[in-house]
Amino acid sequence: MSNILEINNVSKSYQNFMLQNVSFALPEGCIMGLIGINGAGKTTLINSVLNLIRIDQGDIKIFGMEHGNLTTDAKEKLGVVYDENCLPEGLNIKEICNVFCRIYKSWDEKLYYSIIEKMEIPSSVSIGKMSRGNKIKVNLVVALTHHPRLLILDEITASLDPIMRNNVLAIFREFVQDEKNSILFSSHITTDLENVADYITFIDNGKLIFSMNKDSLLDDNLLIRCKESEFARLDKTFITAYENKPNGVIALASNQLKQYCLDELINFEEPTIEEIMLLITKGVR
Amino acid sequence: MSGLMIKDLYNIKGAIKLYTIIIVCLIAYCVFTNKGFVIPIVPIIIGSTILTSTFRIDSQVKWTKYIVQSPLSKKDIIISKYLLLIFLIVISTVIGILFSIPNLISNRISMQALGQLSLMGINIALYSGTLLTSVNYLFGEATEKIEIFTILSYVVSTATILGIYKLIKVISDFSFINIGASVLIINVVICLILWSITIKIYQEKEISLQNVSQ
Repeated sequence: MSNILEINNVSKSYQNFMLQNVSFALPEGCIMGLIGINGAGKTTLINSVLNLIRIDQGDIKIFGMEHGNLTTDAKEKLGVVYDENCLPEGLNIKEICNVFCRIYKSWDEKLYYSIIEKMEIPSSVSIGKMSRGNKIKVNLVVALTHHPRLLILDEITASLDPIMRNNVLAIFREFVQDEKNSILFSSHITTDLENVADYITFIDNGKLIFSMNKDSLLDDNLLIRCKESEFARLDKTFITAYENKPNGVIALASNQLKQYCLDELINFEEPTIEEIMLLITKGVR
Repeated sequence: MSGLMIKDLYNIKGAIKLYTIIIVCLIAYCVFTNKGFVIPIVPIIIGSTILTSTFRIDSQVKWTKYIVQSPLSKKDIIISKYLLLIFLIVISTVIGILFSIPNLISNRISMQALGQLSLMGINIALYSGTLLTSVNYLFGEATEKIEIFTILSYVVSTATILGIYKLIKVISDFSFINIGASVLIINVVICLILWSITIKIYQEKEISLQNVSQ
């Protein structure tokens, strides 16, 4: 399985923020969730991948090519959706099709109208008169209609209602089914990622905390809820992060503590992605 | 690139009504104040400012950061705007000539004067549209600045074009129509240089990202 996207030691500094030596790879046929709190550096990273901003250091490869030197054919295979509508608001569904069929050689008009119908997007009104959710859906349809191999999505599910989010997630699963297509998907809604992501990449304060297989992430970690006295007895080398609460301590630990917790009758459970993210961000590491 | 042109034409269709009303009002004003001779210029100048609307619409939805991810290059994006400018100038020139037909028939304006004035309008519109495009792409693509950019471009280009007219008149014994043609040639050369400089700089420039989060 080769990598469709490779990010190596990428750094970018601003006056009050710095993305530091971020490295990870997205294999073909996978969905990668990019998580982190607001201001963590997700959008900076996506803008760097898309060559919208110039990185200070490192290299980024898309389809094995330097991201700043993508060929026209390579760009045909890249679909991007931002967290806001970027399509001209005065155009309707048909006009959008008329524009993009002249931009993408691989534009599939039949597919376009079929997804429009599937997503229940009103086709008679202009983009500007649509709800925010429908606007994002049209952007997603455009990205899917030219048969991309890599979809880069920046916080798009936040604008969708729960039913539509489910439909969109089903489309994502279908998209990666042929094991050639991949998705890099930044989202605050970690439950979406629990449903579809194969890999989770976590960025905090411009630094990469981890980039790993989602199942391993959830299987290899425990969320321990215990009293302070119990926490004091735990082997701290297995504790990733913890937070003191009024009624005890919540700790994220390696599952090597599982047997100890079972023996000592300490409460533990499998953590959610959100719990991992919050503990690492706000807890003591 | 035709996709970009079509997108702009769809975008400006909403603004066409407003521009038509402005042109008709200005022409009516010229007729009623016995300034019918400037009628050929009015649609060219007003028509070419439609380009401003396309910049504003693009900027509102951050179109550029979106479209640079498509197979089109930054060069295509700028060239499509120049082609749109030329298209607008051609259409507005034809409209200006059509509106001047009654004056031609009633001998209030000669064929030569119509040619001279149309050429002057084309020169101002071409130069200001080129200047506006360059300034917009090189200094920000920001909605709030576009009106200022437009006014500045038209003031600077009108002054420059009239200055070149005067200069040629002083240093040569060309007729006014020949001066217009000479200015057009000089103008085309200046515009081509501006186009290539703009394309070259813009290709190296980061896309303007306003209000993006980290």
